[in-house]
Amino acid sequence: MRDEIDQYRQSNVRPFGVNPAAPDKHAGYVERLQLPFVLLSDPAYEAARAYNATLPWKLGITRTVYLIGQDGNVLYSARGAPGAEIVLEGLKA
Amino acid sequence: MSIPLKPGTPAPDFTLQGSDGKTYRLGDLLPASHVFLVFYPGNDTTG
Repeated sequence: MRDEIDQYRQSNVRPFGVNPAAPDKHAGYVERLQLPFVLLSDPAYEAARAYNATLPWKLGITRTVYLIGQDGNVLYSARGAPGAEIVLEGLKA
Repeated sequence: MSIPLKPGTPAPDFTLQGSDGKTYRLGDLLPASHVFLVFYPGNDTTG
């Protein structure tokens, strides 16, 4: 996502990474990798569960992406790491 | 195994702490911009 950040910004899309790690761990990671986006801390897996991004056999996350429209509805969702061009197609729907 | 929420589904609200020290609530981010969420297994992983 770091290399595609401009594509998201040009489309008025705010990107966030979401992971159970603590905010200070995320802050260190952001600084170390110079990430141009914010990482959100979900230590209780509440958001991950709400978005069906948890593993079924143990406490963990399966990589899942969501594009949410300005109206609050899901525009695009997928497992894995689709590129920005694929994700942003959801804006055209 | 559950599937991702489908397009057209209302996105669940959340309030989470950001790496920049701010608190982010989905309802506050909308409708100014679209939001892209990437749930990933962990920092320093390939997931």
